[in-house]
Amino acid sequence: MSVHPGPPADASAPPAMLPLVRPADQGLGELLRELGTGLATVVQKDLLVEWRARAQLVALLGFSVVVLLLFSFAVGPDSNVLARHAGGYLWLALLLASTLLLARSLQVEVESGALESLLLAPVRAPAIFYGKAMANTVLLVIVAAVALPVDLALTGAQIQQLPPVLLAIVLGAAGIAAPGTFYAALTARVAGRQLLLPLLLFPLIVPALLASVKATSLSMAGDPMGQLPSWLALLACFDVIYWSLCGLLFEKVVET
Amino acid sequence: MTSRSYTLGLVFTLLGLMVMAVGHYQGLFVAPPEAMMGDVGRIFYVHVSTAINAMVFYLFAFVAAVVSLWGGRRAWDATTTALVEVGFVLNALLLVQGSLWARPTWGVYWTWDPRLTTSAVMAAAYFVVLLLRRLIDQPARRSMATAVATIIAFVDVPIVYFSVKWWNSLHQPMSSGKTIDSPMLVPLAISFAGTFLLGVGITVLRWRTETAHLASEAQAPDLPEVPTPLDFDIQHDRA
Amino acid sequence: MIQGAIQGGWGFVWAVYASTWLVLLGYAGFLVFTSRGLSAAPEQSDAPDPGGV
Repeated sequence: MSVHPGPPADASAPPAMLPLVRPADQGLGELLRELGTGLATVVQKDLLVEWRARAQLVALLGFSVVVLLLFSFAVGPDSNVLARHAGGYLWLALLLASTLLLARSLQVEVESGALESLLLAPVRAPAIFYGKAMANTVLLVIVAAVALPVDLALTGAQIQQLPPVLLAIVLGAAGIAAPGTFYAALTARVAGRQLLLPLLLFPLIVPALLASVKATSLSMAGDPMGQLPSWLALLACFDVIYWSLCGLLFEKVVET
Repeated sequence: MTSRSYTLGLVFTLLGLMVMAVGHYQGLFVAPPEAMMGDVGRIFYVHVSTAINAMVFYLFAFVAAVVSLWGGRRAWDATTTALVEVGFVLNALLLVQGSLWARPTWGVYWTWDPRLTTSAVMAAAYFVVLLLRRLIDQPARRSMATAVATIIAFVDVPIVYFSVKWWNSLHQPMSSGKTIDSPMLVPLAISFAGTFLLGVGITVLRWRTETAHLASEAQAPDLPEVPTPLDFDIQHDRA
Repeated sequence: MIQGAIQGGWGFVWAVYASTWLVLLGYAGFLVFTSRGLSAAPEQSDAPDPGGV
């Protein structure tokens, strides 16, 4: 499977990085198509890179399982307590795993200098961001797919309604992935980035964390007051805001 | 940067301190004790004015960050930094004040009420902005990172507040919000104005020190950072 | 209940006001002294950001 860098730049296109503002002669449809192709390329590339290094992904899955185990040990064998907070443990495990995942997300590009090449190729900065963020979302969902059953097994919690849990996982993963990818790019060349990334990320995603945990817990323990849709809506709002904002600002991040 | 800015900063600082002193005096000795809390309620004047000012300076910082990011002038980078720092100091202060106010009124030093929690999250977010500034030595990237992190932190504030408020809503909200009686309004307004003027003065002075630092850096750039032992990656800093 | 909790009342009030003044005076004072007599050439503070190192 070959990964190609999108449509070839035509001779009149400037060699520098393409800005988001489209030149007057390019139609909107064309712009969207170009963004879409770039995006698809980046997603494909990232997932391919992860697949080729799947030992690292497996290690990540192992890490999340270990975190869940540790929570269970730390909390103790009281099954009521464990079951009540099962949602919390799941999301904390995901959050910690995301730190490792995201830090690696741009490592490949920075180490091989591929980031500059990617920008010089006709892939616009937002496409790079959204592509990477989507790939990271997928990977986090994969981690969640493994972590969730383990969490249920360890805590004895049960899922009363499955669809909200799945929705919460996807939306929550997206809520972590977008700011995470953004800050991973920001700190890609900063010394001490492994400490900086969680510090940057965690205050930011407090709303997403709260909403995801709430939605998951309510799906597990039952939702007598019908709050689930509201929490999921909050999560969706957060996602929309941060996916837009980070996409907008990403250009500035890679420009420098 | 002339001595005019120093005078400006100094004047605002002194003025702010004086006005703040008046406001606090009013609040401590002149205003009547609060209906429910008694004299402990006098913390209201300093705490609320600190809290509102923190938000005001964060708002200014947001604007400065936007200008800095899309304008690219070093002066705005210094302005953003100064405003974030002042906002952060006020933010940290309000956490301490809030905690000390919570103890006699609610019996605990900390509670998860929306305002206090949001303040804590905000303090963490803006602290990291300042930390980022320390860790990046390349000027262009540093100013970009400062601006970007400031913008994102600011956008997060209302979302955090709203989500925590909601998260908390099942528990008894220990809200301190209430209608403000008119005898309380005057000391509050004066305290607020004093703190605001002081904040402006400090911002100007901090802007001066930051601008001087950036200028001297441009003339004699710091050596690039040696990768710290904490940095586990093999790749050295490519800056 | 609240009456009882406020027994230590004025202590907390003083603690809050004192700590606030301490911090703000310290911060302001520090800046007043360190930003004195600084000079960067006026044109430099308006200089556009250098593109690279």
